Amino acid sequence: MKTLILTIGGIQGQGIVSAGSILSKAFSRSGYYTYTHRTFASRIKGGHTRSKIEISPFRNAAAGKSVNLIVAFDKKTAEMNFDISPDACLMLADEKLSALSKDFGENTENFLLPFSQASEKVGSKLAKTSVALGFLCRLLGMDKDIFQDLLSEKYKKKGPLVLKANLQAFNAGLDMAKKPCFEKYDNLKLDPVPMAKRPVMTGNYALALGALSGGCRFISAYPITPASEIMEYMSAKLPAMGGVMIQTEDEIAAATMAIGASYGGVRSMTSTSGPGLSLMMEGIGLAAMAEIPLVVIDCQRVGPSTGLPTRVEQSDFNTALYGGHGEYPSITLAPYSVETCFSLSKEAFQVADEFSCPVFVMSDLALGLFPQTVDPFEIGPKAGPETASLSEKLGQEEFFNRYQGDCKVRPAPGTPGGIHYTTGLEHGPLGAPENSPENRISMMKRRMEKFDSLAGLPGIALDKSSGQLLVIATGSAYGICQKALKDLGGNVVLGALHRLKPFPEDQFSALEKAFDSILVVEYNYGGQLFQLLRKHMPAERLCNLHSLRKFSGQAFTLAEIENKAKELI
Amino acid sequence: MALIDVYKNEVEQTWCPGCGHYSVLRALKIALARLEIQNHKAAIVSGIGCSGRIGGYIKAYGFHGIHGRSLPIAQGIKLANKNLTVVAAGGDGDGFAIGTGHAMHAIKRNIDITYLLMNNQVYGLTKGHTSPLSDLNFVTKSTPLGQVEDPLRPSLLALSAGGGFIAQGFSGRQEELIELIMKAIVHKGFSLINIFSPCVTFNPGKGYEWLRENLVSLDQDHDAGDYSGAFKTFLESEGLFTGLLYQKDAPDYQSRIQGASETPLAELDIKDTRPMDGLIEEFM
Repeated sequence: MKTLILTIGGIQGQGIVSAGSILSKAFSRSGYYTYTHRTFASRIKGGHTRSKIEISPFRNAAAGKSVNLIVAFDKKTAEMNFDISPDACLMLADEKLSALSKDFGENTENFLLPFSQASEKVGSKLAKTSVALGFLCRLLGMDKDIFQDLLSEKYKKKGPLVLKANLQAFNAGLDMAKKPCFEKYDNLKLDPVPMAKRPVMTGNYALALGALSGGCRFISAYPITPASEIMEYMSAKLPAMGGVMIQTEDEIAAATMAIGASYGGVRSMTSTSGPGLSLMMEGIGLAAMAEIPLVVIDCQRVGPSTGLPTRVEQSDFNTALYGGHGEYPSITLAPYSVETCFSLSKEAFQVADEFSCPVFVMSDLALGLFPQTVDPFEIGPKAGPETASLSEKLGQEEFFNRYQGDCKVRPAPGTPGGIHYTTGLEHGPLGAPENSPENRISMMKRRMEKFDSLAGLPGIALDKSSGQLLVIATGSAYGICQKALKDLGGNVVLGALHRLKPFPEDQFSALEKAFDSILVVEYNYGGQLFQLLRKHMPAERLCNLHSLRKFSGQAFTLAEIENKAKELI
Repeated sequence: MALIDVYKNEVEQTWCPGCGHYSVLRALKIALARLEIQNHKAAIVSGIGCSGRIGGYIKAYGFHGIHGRSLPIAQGIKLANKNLTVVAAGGDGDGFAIGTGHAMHAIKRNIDITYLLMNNQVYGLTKGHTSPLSDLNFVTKSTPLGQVEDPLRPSLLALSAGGGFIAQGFSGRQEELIELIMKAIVHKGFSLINIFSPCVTFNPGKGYEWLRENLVSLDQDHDAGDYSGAFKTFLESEGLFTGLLYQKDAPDYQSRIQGASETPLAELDIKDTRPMDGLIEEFM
């Protein structure tokens, strides 16, 4: 089999997510690529959760369609309307669920297996997912050492008893699959691939790694789904680097404390999701006004208000582009893959420093939370920051004209000869408040026009710059488009819009002429990216600009995108 | 050059004649000078309101932030560079209305900064509105029939929140205020000084004369190390006192952080990416 799609589901707290993670790591250590789509509820214990894992020899950044293998630890999984693969499907349900009430059709064979019972036999109620892992290991012809290593890595910190129980449970699962009745499922085994060991990563971790690589040594943040992993990872890694992660009392403090630290001379950031971003806007305005670098990572979820906190949406673009009061400069970047989460997060610190302004990095829930196998990226010295963060040579004057000339020269407190003022009031070159109209005009121009040069740089990544249809997407929508469009041929080109502000005007202006039509694919009601592109299209060609939006909280299906694209070619 | 002149600048001061804040500014400059803190090593952070101007009237790294947020900004600066002397200053509205949450958490967090609460019990810069520290029945533009809420008591809040240095000062008692600010800066941890700083324009009833008559100085034998005694002292005087109410030794936030580096964050070599070795492998 080329591609295997496996779903494991159960009640939150049963170890379903961990089992999914071990499976994806086991396949990634065996040379395959995986993509895991997670469904979860906003609660800790109880509530249904499932991971749908696609395993194939190719890099893949979106969930596939139909399933070949279902492992059910709760009734909801066992009775769900899955899109069953025509190539056969096997349903393995925990015996505890008793009789399966659902008929999946002739392509599916159902088995009730004693996962729970085998777990109890080794003295633990919690090891049933390890039994299932053992079963899958043999069924799918995987190397059991890889699984055992992963179980050891996972459970050794929980003590020898827990580890032993899980290893025994795993072995019980191996034995369970020995029965001759399972031999005929040889077709579920994946075609062999060259051995390789690749990381399994989410966008959130890649963003955090990118930040560390970009020289970030301070993060102040407030926990929020789906962005928390960023602060958690930074809190685990920063101390060894001499840095600090601080969990603040709210997002207002998170933003303003990062501003203080940045002003204090360290590359600083905060991370959040929509509700937190709303609270941060006042601080972001200060950073823009006082020209202090600040990186804000927003892992978008369904809004407004508490919305659907565990579902995907891309509806904060307008907040990043137009939020807050007054007019101020900012940069908005948008990663569209785990790899670009890393590279753009790193770049964000570079441009924040270079232009002394707030930089938004707009990710989303699906990109942030869904683990996928990636090729290892370089985080060694070569990936380090290219310039020192602070000015080295300052004048000997009593005060430093901070707001005159190069905005990169930004003496931190402690720097002799660098004393200046910092205020959210309109100010003169020294930073002291100044309200003359002449000064206001020159300072506004200084801020608003300082990165005009960026508008000339490309902000859309694509393989081909002409064709029939250009599909534009970013965030997790990009990965799905990639998968949905791959069979449509070279006349359909996919572009990743990764810099929304300053908008890549020159590049877009050339592209919109080089394609017959453009389709914007995004997760929101109002077509925020569509409206952004619309502003940059000449009126006579607006009829060539099309939009596909989804705001149900669910990911696009491959068919939705493919069909829309087909309509346009 | 007199010590205080190191901190003097030419920025025009716009407080009303007779404003208590001039004396807070003077006391702060003298305290810094007596402690021989070089002005480029001091960061003075303020919020918005009349008090917010203070950071601009002193020759040091002055940061005039946004309303209510002086404390998070000040804490960020100190976390970035622990070698700096960081003083946050703000009014009663800034610190105990819009910024109350930050104040409580700054006290609890115990980062080594000094917070000067420039308390005049009224909103001055908005031209006279009630403050959370205003007295009951206080008549203002927003409470024409008199304030119906009881005031917050910052020193009591700070005691309950675990504050390690809690003092009260008065603009009209300069020498004591200078001494208190010096002690607060030297104290390792978060220090709060609630300073009665009269607003002669919008709260003349609580002017110098009234404060001089009603504020008692804590006795020489007041034991600042006695926690429950501090509550008692506060309650018995109805909060109308000046002096060091309570002080305790406790490790500040930065000494508690596991693995916190000796090098200030601002001086880390960010080009050294050796600490990142092996991070990718952890995901395999």
